[in-house]
Amino acid sequence: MFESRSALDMYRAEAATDGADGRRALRLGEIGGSHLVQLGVYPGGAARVAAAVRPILGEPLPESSVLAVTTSERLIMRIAPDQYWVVGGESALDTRLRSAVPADAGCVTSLDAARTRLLIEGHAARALLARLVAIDLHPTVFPIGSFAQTGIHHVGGLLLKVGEDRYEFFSLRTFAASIWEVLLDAARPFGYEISLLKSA
Amino acid sequence: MLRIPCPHCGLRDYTEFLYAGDASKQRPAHGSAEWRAWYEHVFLFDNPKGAHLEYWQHVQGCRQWLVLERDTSTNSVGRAWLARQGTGS
Amino acid sequence: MIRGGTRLPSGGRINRARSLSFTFEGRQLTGYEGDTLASALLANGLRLVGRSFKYHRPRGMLAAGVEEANGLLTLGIGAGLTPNVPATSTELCEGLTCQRQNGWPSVEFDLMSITGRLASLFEAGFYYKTFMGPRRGSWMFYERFIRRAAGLGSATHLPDHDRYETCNAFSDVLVIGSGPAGLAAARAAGRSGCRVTLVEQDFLLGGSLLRAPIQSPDEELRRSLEADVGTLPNVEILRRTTAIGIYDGLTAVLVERRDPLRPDPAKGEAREIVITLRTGAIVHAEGAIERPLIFGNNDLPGVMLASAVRTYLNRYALTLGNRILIATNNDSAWATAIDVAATGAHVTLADERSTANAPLHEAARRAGIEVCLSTHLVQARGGRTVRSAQLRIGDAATTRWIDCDLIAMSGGWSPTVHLTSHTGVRPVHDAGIGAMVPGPWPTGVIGAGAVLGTGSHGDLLSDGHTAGTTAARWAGALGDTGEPQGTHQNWTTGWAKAVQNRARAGSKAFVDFQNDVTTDDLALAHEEGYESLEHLKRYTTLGMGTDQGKTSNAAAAQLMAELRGIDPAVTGSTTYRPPYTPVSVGALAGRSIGEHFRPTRRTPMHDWHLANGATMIEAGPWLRPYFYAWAGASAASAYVPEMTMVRTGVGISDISSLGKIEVQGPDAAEFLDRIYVNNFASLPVGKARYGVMLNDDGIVLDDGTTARFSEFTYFMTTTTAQAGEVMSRLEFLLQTAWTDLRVQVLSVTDRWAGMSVAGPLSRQALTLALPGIDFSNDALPHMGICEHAIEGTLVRVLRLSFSGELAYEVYVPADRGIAIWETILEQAAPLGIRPYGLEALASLRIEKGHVAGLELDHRTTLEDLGLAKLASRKKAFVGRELKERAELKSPDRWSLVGLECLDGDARLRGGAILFSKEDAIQGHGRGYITSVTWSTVLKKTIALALYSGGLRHEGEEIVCAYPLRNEQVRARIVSPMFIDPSGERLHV
Repeated sequence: MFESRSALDMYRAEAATDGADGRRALRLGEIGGSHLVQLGVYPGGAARVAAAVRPILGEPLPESSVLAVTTSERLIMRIAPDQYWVVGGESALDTRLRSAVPADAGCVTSLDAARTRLLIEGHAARALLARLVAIDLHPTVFPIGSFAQTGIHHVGGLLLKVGEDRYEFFSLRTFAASIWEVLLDAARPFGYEISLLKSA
Repeated sequence: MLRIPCPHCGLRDYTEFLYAGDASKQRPAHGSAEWRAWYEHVFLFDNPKGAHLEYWQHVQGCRQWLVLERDTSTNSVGRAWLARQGTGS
Repeated sequence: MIRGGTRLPSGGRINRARSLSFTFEGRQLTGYEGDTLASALLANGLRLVGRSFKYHRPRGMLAAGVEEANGLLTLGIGAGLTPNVPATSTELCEGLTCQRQNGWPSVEFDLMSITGRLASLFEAGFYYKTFMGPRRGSWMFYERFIRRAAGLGSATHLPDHDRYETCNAFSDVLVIGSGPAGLAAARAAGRSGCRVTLVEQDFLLGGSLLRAPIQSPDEELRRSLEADVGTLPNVEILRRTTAIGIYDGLTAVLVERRDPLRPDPAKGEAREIVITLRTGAIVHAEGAIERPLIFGNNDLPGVMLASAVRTYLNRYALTLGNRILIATNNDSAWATAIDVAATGAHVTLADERSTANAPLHEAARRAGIEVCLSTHLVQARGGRTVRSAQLRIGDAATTRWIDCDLIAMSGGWSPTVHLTSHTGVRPVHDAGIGAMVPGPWPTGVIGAGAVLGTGSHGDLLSDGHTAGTTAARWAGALGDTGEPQGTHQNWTTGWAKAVQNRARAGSKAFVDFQNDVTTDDLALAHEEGYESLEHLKRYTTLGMGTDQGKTSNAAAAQLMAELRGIDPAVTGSTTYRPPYTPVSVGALAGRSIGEHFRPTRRTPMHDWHLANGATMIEAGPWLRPYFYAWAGASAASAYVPEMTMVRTGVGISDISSLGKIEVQGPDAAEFLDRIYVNNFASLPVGKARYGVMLNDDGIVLDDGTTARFSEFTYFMTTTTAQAGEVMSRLEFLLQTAWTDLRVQVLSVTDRWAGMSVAGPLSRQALTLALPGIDFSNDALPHMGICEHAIEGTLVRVLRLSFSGELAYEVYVPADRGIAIWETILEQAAPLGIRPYGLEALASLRIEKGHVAGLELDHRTTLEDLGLAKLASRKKAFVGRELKERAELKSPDRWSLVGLECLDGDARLRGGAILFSKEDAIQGHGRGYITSVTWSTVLKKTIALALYSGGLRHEGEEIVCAYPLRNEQVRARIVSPMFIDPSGERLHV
């Protein structure tokens, strides 16, 4: 077996830090163990793709471009009019979808390891993110389940709100270390705990 | 900060977008051997004061190419739609 | 020291229970919470706060707010030093350290004040003439003198230890200013239910209401408005926060100053936060700024704006004089007169107007004020403080001197139109008040209160209420906004006609206090033809100080109009630009400093490189291994062993930064055929092909290799530099021109770790490392590809060569990059495999004559690069028509050649300009060197270059000139393929 490594491997020894008031209002980390598949639809193929993947996903493909569909097993986001992300724990998801989708209607591409899934959680999560992303995170505008593809410190990624004070940011893997450093820097006044992946 | 209403993602800062110029011109059909048509398409542009149709790509978002109405004299932004829907309004 | 002011035993909006100590020029002083630095210094008796910019005249505080022109101090010490901070808008905080500036050897005793007598040296246009005119040479002589003499405080050269933040915010309605109009607007908008941001630069809300006594209807109003707004949870109140700029798209940039909170940089706390606020509507309620009067020596310490005198009295409980002259052309200063008279001071009020507002006149009489109507102030006298004033009644020939230790002046008010005009709305002249008012409001923007000038309805509460309601409706909020609740009219009484120049010829009457611009300077500028306000500004430096002419612009426009004999509406105003008040550069930079200056992109093997002796180099956003310690201590020495290893054995390098794009779909073959100049439809599954793309204009966009993994699936690689642009271009074509093509493109650059295993032993190396794959020439010939799952890990192998040697590109999922990389190094160790870096990678391709980013510079054509034969004649492709432009077909174009150095150990240098042997070495030459290396094969320096006429000149000797080092090196033009031109090494 070839060992899988996180893009944040070299930060495993990073210590938790108290905020200016002595508390730790944030938990920052990486979420591992998930697989990411991109589903693309060719012109004229939407209906056939939708019908083909429905039995596997158990849900229709979302219409909304701002709200994710969340099931117990996976997360489905419409990232472009003809593109969807499916995030889940099942490693063979891409092969199952690929065999279901008619080859002249759409395509399925694994983006495993292409994104680093960062966790930003805690009372100060919204305040921290306000310093990094130009997205209105007011709960009436960005309720739980909302997602937005946007940039942190000039780098594109996908921000997802999964709980009251809990967000995820899907960063391009090759930028993840840089984004992580910026996150920690911005988080200093709030204080933070760290939860990174144990190396295999 | 120009704010652009991305039809997929919603209203966003223009810094998330890539600007790519005049969208009102019709690109010659692929394979067209009309040298003059290509020449005009690539090199000859109006520089209008006022209403302008232009291409922007939401590179840090959904990566869609948009057609945006912008007034070059006031920098006010009008409607935006997916470029794949055509450049006619 | 001359007495500045005296603190009254009670009153004011200061917290006497909390005293704050601070240091002024080494002396420990105290003030109270609620003081500004200015009020605390005045309370400690300081009147002389600085020396003026050019003439080093003694100056005291002019104002009590951000418009302050004189009271600039240097705060902090060492790395925390900040020069030119207005004391009047600096909140006093414990431990603050400050000093005066621009005095030499000291402000109290300033030798440089002699420059006041060398006035001609500093007259208007002095700098302009010195730089631009015939006296230009004199600059060399005067410079040292001027550098010491002119200017404000000195900045530190030490790195700033403070932290700054940038932040994003959103709201429905932004209200700028918390005076009565702003508070009423925020209350109305807040009641509608929408999200409101109220911005106030001061640390207290109230604006003009803060000038009133603490027992007054104004103060009651202030408290009730503040309470109303404070109870609305949807109104966010930002104190100590200045809107410094308004931008397109209803965006405002706000700067929050946190110094009084004593932020600790060690804990990550920011000293200033720049907030970019996107909003749905803006209410401008910035109010107005009082104008000085123009009379002789109007800059003496002790001459202040009347509103400031009233503020110091009622907000800070300070009396600043015992014999006070109030000089005014409007009603607003009467309130100051009445309030200061109540402290027992002797007050004379000189009003330029012939009649007075009857109730005010009666109140003044009752207060024991000596009222002189139709009376104007001609000049003041004094040394380091004002001592007397000369008054003239009407046009009378006779004048009268009175003794005074404080002059409170009011030349009327100018609306604070700065922010209203930032997005290009030019303010318009309001003749009724001799000042500019905002121009037509753009969509989503409205004003309220004094900023409107005579456009205000007169009742500030109704003004604000209406504006707040309107803004809320624009933002889509429908809730009931209630009633304005009362009226408040204090502003309408302050409007006055334009300020008149009352100074006698020859006396110094200042228009711009901070930049020492006098009425004489204006006259001189006019005489010399610098009449337009924009010219006047640059010629005299009027309005160019840190205060940006807040107290001077209106008078300057008025006086210039008079000099020109035209309507002031025609002179207009200068262009107001952000920032409204000075902002720290550090705050604008936010965290984009040092290691966070910009993000870096790290390959999946980054950690391994760092742990194994790599020196990294930036390549665009990427950090790539430059060279490895095993081969040498510097790039210049290390790349030679690294190259030799690849030419004679096997090496491995990280190529993960190449752009990688998955192109899929039934029409993918057609799509590739359209974007590449060469044929791709014929590429069989299991093979890769080199391809070149053009822009529509026929110029080369990028090159790379595309491999076909299945009927509908292609794996495209691009150069590192062009990856983003190529991706956008492909998306552009698919989403605009070719919407019918059934194709999906997806960047998979981050999905795959890429490594090149190169050298004659590379096949053996990979056979050892990945025994599950058949690397034989039959199974995997040149340009062959394969895909295998090895122990559950997907591995893609492309047999391609950048170096000219037998080589393979191996792509594996990014998270397995290090594991596979290490496996190859371990398993092939008996073959001597080691890593090689970017310098060797680039040098290898130069020997082979492969073009790269330095040659693909968006100016070269296929012909220029020797790639013309690649273009298909049988199919259409992007750029086909315009690549046939006559200019691009010229045989004299600069095209690709190789160069061999003829001067032994001499260096060829990238960027060197090329000349034929006969040419004079001047001008742009016949081309330039793009890439250089030492060839380990040829044992000499070689280069790729673009040269006019290209290989037509093969064999000729040329000169490579590098003027920056005064070098000229001889070289011979040769084929760019220095090694293995027939490609034999690739097919073994």
